[in-house]
Amino acid sequence: MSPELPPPGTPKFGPLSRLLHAPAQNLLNITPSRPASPILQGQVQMPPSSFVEPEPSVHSLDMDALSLAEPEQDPDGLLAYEPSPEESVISASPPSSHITPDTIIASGSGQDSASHVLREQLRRTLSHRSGGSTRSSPHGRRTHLAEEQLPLSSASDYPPLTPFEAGRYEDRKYYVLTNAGKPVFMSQKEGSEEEAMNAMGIMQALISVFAEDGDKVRYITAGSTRITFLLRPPLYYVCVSSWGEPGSITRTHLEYLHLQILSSLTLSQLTKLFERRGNFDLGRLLTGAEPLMRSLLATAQISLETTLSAMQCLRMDMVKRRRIGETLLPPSKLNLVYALIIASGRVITLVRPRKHSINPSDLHILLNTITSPSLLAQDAESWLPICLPRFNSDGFLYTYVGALREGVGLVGLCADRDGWEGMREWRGAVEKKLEEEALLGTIEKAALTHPYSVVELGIHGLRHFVYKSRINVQFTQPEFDSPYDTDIERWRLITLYQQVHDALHARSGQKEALTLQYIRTPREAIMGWITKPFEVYVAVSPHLPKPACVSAANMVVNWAKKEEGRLFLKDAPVF
Amino acid sequence: MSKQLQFKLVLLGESAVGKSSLVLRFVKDQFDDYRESTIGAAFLTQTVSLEDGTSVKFEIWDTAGQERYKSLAPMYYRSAACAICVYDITQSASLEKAKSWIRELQRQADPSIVIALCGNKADLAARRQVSQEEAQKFAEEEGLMWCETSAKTGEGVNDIFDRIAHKLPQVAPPQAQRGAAAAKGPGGAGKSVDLNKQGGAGATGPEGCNC
Repeated sequence: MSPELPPPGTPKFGPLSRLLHAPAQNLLNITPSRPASPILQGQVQMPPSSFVEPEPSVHSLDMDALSLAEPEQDPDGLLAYEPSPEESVISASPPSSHITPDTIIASGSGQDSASHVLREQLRRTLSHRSGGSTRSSPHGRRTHLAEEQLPLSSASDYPPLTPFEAGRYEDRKYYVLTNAGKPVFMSQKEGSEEEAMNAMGIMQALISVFAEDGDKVRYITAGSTRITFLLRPPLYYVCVSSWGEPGSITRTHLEYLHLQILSSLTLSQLTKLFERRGNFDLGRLLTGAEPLMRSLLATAQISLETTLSAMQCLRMDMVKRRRIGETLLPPSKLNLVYALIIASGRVITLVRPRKHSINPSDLHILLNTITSPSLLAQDAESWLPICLPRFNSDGFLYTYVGALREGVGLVGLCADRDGWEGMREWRGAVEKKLEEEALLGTIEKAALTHPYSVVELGIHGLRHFVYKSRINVQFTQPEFDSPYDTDIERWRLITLYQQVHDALHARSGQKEALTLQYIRTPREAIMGWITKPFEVYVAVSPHLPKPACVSAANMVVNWAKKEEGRLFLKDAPVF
Repeated sequence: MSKQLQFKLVLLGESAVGKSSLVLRFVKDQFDDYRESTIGAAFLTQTVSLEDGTSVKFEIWDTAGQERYKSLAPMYYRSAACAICVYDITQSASLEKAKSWIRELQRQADPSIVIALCGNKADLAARRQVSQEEAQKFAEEEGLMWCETSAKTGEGVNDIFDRIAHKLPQVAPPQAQRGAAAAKGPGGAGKSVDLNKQGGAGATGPEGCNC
């Protein structure tokens, strides 16, 4: 049983406490959502000096531009988890038998009576726990994972998942609604609309019950399912997940959904619409944007980009990459804000005005928007307004997207909505230079040779890894080879990485950030190690002794240093 | 010596009436059963050769139909020589939307703009909500070209672009010249080479596409 951390700066019991009977207060776990990982088997904290001493980088800081994360200042400035004293985590025992759509809906038509009933339900649910035996873990997951620590009975180093374990990875459900309870978006395509409307009505009621007391609901945990709320009035974002990922991860997903919506509307337009009409039907206005939200979420399930707040660029010869960057340099009259070339959905190079960085979340939203297949079909050219919220949440950038080849896109962003003709001229010039130097072929080849296998590194026991260059705000990872070549196994591995990431960065209110964390399940051991210049996560066989795991991590770091030129976009030209 | 003309054409209409599908049929002679909504606007070109040897190159703006892009539309129709306002024959509301685009064009666009009203999804005639008579009558009253098309089967698609290509040189030469000049810029040299090739091939329709 993991110790219950006294959370740092535990928020005072807010107005929520008034809602509850005294005994219930003890049970209301106003804690950070996820204290240190329960599956921690051994946590070794070593000074980095016991590893290969990382060289402090003195150059190549151009891309720190791209950086939100100067490590010691702000490891997660982008979508910072900001523990807010008014917000609280509710960890209730499985409330499903208490709060069901039926009871809520049947309970009254008026808003007031509904919220009253809800309040009563919550009170009962929480009191109910006081009759229960002990302070059981707020996360059902914890118990479950603890079971995973049982000594290995079989010699197999990869026991198959039980149906129960596999069953946890059913699709996460995401909802967006307005603060008046109007549905805006839901991730599931199937299922009746009426059901979804009801679900969103309940969500709105739940949120407003707390809002009436000046409180904000952040999580509801029921068994192994956690419902996460992110309130960005006039919009509410909700995710239902049973994967067991840290709360910070789910919140990041929801935060990105918000950014994707802002990218189609701008914040000022969104605010204005709702100032004029509180019950505005935003869903209608966002027609056609659902595929973008779906693709964003699809990426979030299988990628660490949002977790690490970093980009993965296409692997390519450094000199060629530099040349491609130079061909993009625009004439000064064009007033470009950013220009990039992408292939296979990844950045090859990105040029920008000096002192004008791009925020990783903006880049992520941009890539998600422009990698839609129709924009990069042979010969396609498009002109689209896109708001990059971290760049300027109140205005659009006009974006030229031209397919130089199928799947290879030249992208230019400027603030001038009439900038089309200038962009086309620029495209013509860029295309000509690329063709003259046979660089388009290079790009197409790089797109094919980008993926690599962990086997190529030749490190004993290493199954997968993620290496983030913190200086470049970029990361690299091999393909997900066996045993992580199925969806469920990949999701499981990513969730483990996310748990380690969360602990290293103390994202969920842990006492302090860690340098190193090692966790073991019956199927693998995961180690995360963070230093100033890099962050590395390795997945190895659970039978590999700890020192061997540490040395595998060291070898990954050495390999990445050697390959840095190909792996990362380091010295893109500026203009 | 054959003439080469260049015109800007804009497609307007409610979302999901088939604007992108019409253009895809016209430019590439393709059809996707499932197509994602257009984001912003897509730019395509296609050349039509007339019997007298004139080749008409369309620079086509396929705009997104969603309400949230509405304020951007003037950017596309401002210098357009012609506009196709598309509705879905199985959705009577989409005709209303097309009419409101037509009124906006009549107010705001160049007065010489050639406007065509186009009822798409003619292959779904069984679910028709907009009668041919109703649409045709409206088009006549407003002095618009009118047609029904099916991007899916290709029916009527080349026909409407052909009719526009024939009409433009007669009714809108000055506007067209301006439009062509405005659209040209330094990239124009490359474009005229394309046009010559087109003229040489003497092709019409999709085979003539060299873009």
